[in-house]
Formats: sequence, structure tokens, C-alpha cells
Amino acid sequence: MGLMFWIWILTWVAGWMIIIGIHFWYKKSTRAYNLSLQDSSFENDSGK
Amino acid sequence: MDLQTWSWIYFVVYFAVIFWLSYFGFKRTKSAADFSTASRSYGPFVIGIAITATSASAAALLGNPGLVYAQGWPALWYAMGGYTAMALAWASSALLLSRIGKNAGAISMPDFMGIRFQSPLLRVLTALAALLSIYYIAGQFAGLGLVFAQSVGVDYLTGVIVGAVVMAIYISVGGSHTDIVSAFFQGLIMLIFAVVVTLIVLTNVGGIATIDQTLTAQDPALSSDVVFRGPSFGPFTGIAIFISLGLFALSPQMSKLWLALDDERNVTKALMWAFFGMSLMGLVMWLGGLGSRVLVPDVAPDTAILALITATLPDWLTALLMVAVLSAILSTTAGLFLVVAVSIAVDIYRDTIVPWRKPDISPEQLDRRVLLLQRCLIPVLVVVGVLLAQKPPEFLTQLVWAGIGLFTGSVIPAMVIGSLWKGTTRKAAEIGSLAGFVTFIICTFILGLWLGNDFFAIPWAGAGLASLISATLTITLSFVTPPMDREYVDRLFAR
Repeated sequence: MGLMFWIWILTWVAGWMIIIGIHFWYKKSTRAYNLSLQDSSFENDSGK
Repeated sequence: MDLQTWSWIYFVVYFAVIFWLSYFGFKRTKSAADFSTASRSYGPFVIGIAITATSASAAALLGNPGLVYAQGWPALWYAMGGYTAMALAWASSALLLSRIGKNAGAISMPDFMGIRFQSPLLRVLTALAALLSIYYIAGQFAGLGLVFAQSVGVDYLTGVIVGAVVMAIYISVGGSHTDIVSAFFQGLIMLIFAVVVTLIVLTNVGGIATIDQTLTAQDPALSSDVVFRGPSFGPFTGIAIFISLGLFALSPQMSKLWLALDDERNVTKALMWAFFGMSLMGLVMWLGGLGSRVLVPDVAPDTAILALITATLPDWLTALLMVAVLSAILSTTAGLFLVVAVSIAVDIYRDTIVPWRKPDISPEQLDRRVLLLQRCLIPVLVVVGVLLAQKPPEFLTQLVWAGIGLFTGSVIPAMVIGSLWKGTTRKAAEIGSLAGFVTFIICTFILGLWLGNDFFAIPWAGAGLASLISATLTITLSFVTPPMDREYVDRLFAR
């Protein structure tokens, strides 16, 4: 198989990695954000 | 039954569905904002496939495979730039476009720019750049005439007029709701097209290795081993294609779809669907282009895919695939019509002229007036588009790119940077966008067109350079110009 084919596959996989990467990054940052909200509400509830 | 009869049957069914969707859109349109954006109304599957359909125009189904047909494997540099650049462009902007769009209540891209930077100048500049999309519409109309002529046998101009009238009716009645839902269904038809073309090539020609061997025997310049070869590959061409395709993915008819997504948490799912759709469209380009070169080697490149399906499929299936080509054209053009109509009615009239002239009308009256203006503008724009398609200006390609290039080269860098970085200032965005605007005009029209410079004769080059200058100025000047009100910006970026 020619070189052009493999370069094509590589750029396609790179595209998927970018999209999947942003998906997991977003999930992680949302979880961290929600945890920080819980923490601050706990602090408020406990009267700190 | 022959191809023409089958084509008539499918086209009648297709238009009946489209008109039903315009009734559906009409019922859901209660305000000017519903008409312009259909804010936060659809889920990730619908938006993702609608993005695929809107980004893939006549070029994706006819022009790009034609390029591969003419140049062989080396033409794939174009698709490679597309995949990674589009993924990067969407990944960097979609999330925050959706979030800021929700927090600020933006209903169009000029509106988004005006609110993000508190800048009437950027609102008007973005609206003016969007107005030039009318030339892009004219280019799509030419494809419309070709499809009708090939399938049902009417002449070119009749085809253009029939397609244009249908579109004028369904968009002016149903607005963005009809645009999005019909783009979704059209996208599904286009994906079927992509799968069928792939199957045709794999079953009639053989695997990729066989295609490669046959093409190499036909002409060594078409081989997959000839990688670093012009005109698609060059030190600047590759970079220019990459930048301009990435920026193209952010053009207003696509960016506005993020404002219609129901929830920010669904952005990445919509991205996956859009990239999945684009991947299948890519198969049409490279497998379709290469396969048709093997099977039907002596046709005009732009008609290669049509010749491939006509030569290999029964009439009933060929006619169905013609509907897919029609879908590609209508979905892109409908989005463009809305962009132009919304720019005039909402951004120039409601948000620029009305605050300046201060007419004595209530907000409800104004909203009704803007909605009516949007509806009436669509038929007017269709007439302008048909006239332009009938008598194309001498420099149609440059004008098509003037629309895309002005948008991508001037305001999009500020839009992306302003979405990613809270510290972007109003002055920096204004100066960066204006500089990009002027750079694009100088490079493409003066250096390229007037003085005949080879490099800038390709409008991508001007768009690429303009966006680099615009981005650099927007970033550097943000450090030295007065910052925006912190509380206001925080409110825009709040989750």
C-alpha cells in the first residue's frame, strides 16, 4: 500500500483523537467543577 | 421505468417531505429569534448530521471527487487538511460558542461578536462579511442546474429556477427550524450516498491495492507513492489549505448551528456525529474519485461521480443518489440564505439602525417586523442568487472566496480567541479584525487579481495570511489595550 494512503489514515486518526480528547477533557473538567460546587455548598452549610 | 421517470418520482416525494418540514418549522416559529437560530432546540445527533450536510456542498459530492479523479492520490492532501483542520476548529470553538451563546442570548454570529466584545463595529463588520455569502449561493445554484439537467432532463436555467423557488418557499415559511431538520434528513441521504459509492467501488474495482495498481499503470503521476507532488502539495499550499479549511469549518452557516444545540454538555457528542459524517463524505472524495478514474476514465472530472453511478447502478438507485446531490446543494444554500437574511434584518436593521433612529414602536411590534422582514428577504435573495448564477460575474471564484475569505480572515480569529480567552479585549478584536479584512482585500484583489501574483491568485493564501495577521494582532494587542469589564466577561463565560 502506498505512502499516501498511510498519511491519509494518520490524519484521519488525528482528527478522531482531537474530538475524543476534547470529549474526555470536558467530562473531567465538568466533574471537577461540580465537585468544587459541592465543596463550597458544604462550606456554606456548615456555617464556615 | 427509465432514469427520468424515477428521478421525477423521487423529486416529487423529496419536495413533498421538504414542504411538510416547512409546515413543521412554521408551527414552531413564534418569534424573530426562532426564525434566525432555533435556539437550543435540537439534540447532538440532529445537529451533528446537520453540520455534515451544511458543510458538504456540491463541491463535496462532485467537485472534490473530480479533483481526485484528475490528479489521483496526490490530490488527497486537500482531504487530509480538511480532516484535522476541521476537527481542531470545531474542538476549539464549539463548546464556548454554545456556552456564551446561551449566556448572552446571541441569535446570530454578528450578534455573538457584538455581545462578546460589546462592539457595534464588530457586529456590523461581521454582518457585512456575511452578506458576501450571496456569491457562494450563486456558485451552489450552478450545481443545482446541473443536477436537474442530468436527472430529469430539463434545461439548466429551468433547473436553477425550480430549485430556487422551492427553497425560497421552504426557508421563508419555516426559517431555522426547517433549515436544521431538513439538513438533518438531507445529511442522512448523503451518508447513504457515501456508503453506496464506497460499495460500488469496492465491488466493481476491487480493494485499495487493486485501485492503486490500475491507476499506476494508467499514469504513474496518479500513484499513491507519489506523495510530495504539486499542485496540491507545496510549501505554502499545504499550510494555506489547512488554515482555510479549518476556518471554513467555522463559517457562519455552520457556527450558527451550535447556538441551536439543546445543551452545552452535548457539544462533544454532536462533534463526534459531525466528524463521523465528514469521514464518510471523505470516502466519497477519495474512493469515489479514484474508483471512477478506474471505471470511467474519459469523462469531465466534475461529472465523474455521476458517470460512475450511472454506469454501475440500476436506474432506480441512480435516481435516488441524484436526490443526495440535490440534498447537498439545498442544505448548504438554505443555511446561507438564512445567514444573509438574518444579517440584514437582525444585525443591521434591528441592532444597528433601530437603536440609532429610535423609532416609536414597542418591542413586540419590532419583533414582528423583524420576523416579517426576514421572511420577505428570502425570496429577494433567491432572485439575486438566480441572476448571479445566470450571468456569473467575471471573477465568480474570487467573489465566492471574498465571502468566505472575509469572514475567515477577519472576524473568525477574534471569535475563536475571544471564545477561548477571557482576556481578549474589545480594541484588540476590532483592530485585528479590521487588519485581517484589509489584508485579505489587498492580497486577493490587488496582488492576486490585479497585479497577477501567482501565490495570491489562490484565494486560500490571502485568507490564510489575513487570519494569521488578525490572530497575531488580536492576541498581542489584548495585552496593551484596556481590558473589558471583568464582571461582564465572567457572566458570559459562566457555566
